[in-house]
Amino acid sequence: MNSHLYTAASGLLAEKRRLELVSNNLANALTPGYRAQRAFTAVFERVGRGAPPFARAANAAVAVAGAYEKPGPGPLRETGRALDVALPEGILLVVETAKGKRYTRAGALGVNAAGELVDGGGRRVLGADGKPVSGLGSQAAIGPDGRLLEGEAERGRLALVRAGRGAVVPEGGNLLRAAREEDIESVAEAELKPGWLEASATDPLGELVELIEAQRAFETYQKLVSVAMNDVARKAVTEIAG
Amino acid sequence: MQRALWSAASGMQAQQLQIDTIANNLANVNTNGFKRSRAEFQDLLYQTVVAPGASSSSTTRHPAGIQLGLGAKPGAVKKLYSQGDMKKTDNPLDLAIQGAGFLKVLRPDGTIAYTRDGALTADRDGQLVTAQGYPLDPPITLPPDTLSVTVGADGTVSVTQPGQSAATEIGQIELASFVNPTGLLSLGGNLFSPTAASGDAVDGTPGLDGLGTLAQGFLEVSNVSIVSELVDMIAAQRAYELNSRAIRAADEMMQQVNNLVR
Repeated sequence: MNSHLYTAASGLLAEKRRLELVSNNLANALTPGYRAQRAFTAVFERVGRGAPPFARAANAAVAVAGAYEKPGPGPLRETGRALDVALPEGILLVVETAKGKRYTRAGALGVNAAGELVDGGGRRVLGADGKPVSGLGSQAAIGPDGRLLEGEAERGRLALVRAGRGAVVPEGGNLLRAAREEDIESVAEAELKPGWLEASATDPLGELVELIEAQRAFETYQKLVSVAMNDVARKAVTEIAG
Repeated sequence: MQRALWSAASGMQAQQLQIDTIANNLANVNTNGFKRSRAEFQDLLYQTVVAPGASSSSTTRHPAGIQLGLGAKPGAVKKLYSQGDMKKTDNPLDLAIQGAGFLKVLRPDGTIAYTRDGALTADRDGQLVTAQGYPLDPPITLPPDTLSVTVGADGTVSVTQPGQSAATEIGQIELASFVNPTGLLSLGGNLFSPTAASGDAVDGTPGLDGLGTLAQGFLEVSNVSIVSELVDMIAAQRAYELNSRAIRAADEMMQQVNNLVR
């Protein structure tokens, strides 16, 4: 008899998860290249398909079925720094980590003491030949075609990949991990914007609306639970049984 | 709900760091040779609830997973070594570096520090020193009867003395460059010292090997742009407010959970 209680409780859990996603989006409002995540909810049925329609409807539950990335790009802002680069939508840089190859959209690059190109976290950025780019110094700059220059001398070319929607998933530290390797392909050239950075794609207005929606829906489910428990169940116990 | 609280709190801490960085930039808007800093942020770890591509049945897969991010963290506060504007001072001992490079100064503990602030003066011995009184390295000493000083774009220092028609060359100002100037340690007092991240200093003559040239009678002012700092500050402040709104929402939702049972 408590199926309505479970349905309402499932709604509470789903809204809580939505709030968690919104919260993370807002926390990353200043993280370069960040993509906001949105939940999509689905109805799950707790009884088999053979059950009568009435029982199926009464035993439905709602849950967050998945999270998707809101498409970018985030707003571009000019920095004038020679090693900042904004990438076109879908294009990613390749960096070398202890766990293997990772991808990133955060284009605030730098040079380490050994003259190698590194990302914001100090991880080496790979060149088109699959090796870290070296020989850079205080005159290092990125060309709009992805070439790396030290003064006038060319020191290599950035490795660039094109990733389809959902082909990469965030891992933290501005790194992206391949989820579907087959949807990631190397590209020889892309139109880069050196001297620019892509800001976070978190849209404050959209997040706030999502936040209010999640909070109000949570209240509604809470009301359902309290009606189910406090009114219906209590009446059953005190009036019918009593 | 706890996750939402902590994510939003990490966001507020990140915005706070952004405000701190901006405040320091704005405080140094009139500091000679000052280079602005930029705070850079990263997303924190993700908790995977449903892995993307995991099987949803024997023949189908989840097209999208559920990964709950746990907030943001500061990745670096980077110094940006873009050229500051030149201010004409007409003081012959004011030097501005046009391009890359640092002046070398000898600190009292015997170590070398590096600076972009070329507001030099002569001490009582005629030695060229910075505002703190630290001498240049290699030292340049003006003769006591100096009438005028000329510093060439290539760093040669020459003086004219009474009774002489030609200028006498008395020294050469050197500049130093670093593979990664962003990795320098800020010591305060406009000074920097090398670290394992910056690489060792490479000494050279101004104008050669990619080093900048010297401009006498000019000072390099701070490269802080007030307008862009203020815009960043507004953005950080609003982001801070938004995160506090998320904390309030999480708090109110928890309160409702507590009120489920009366």
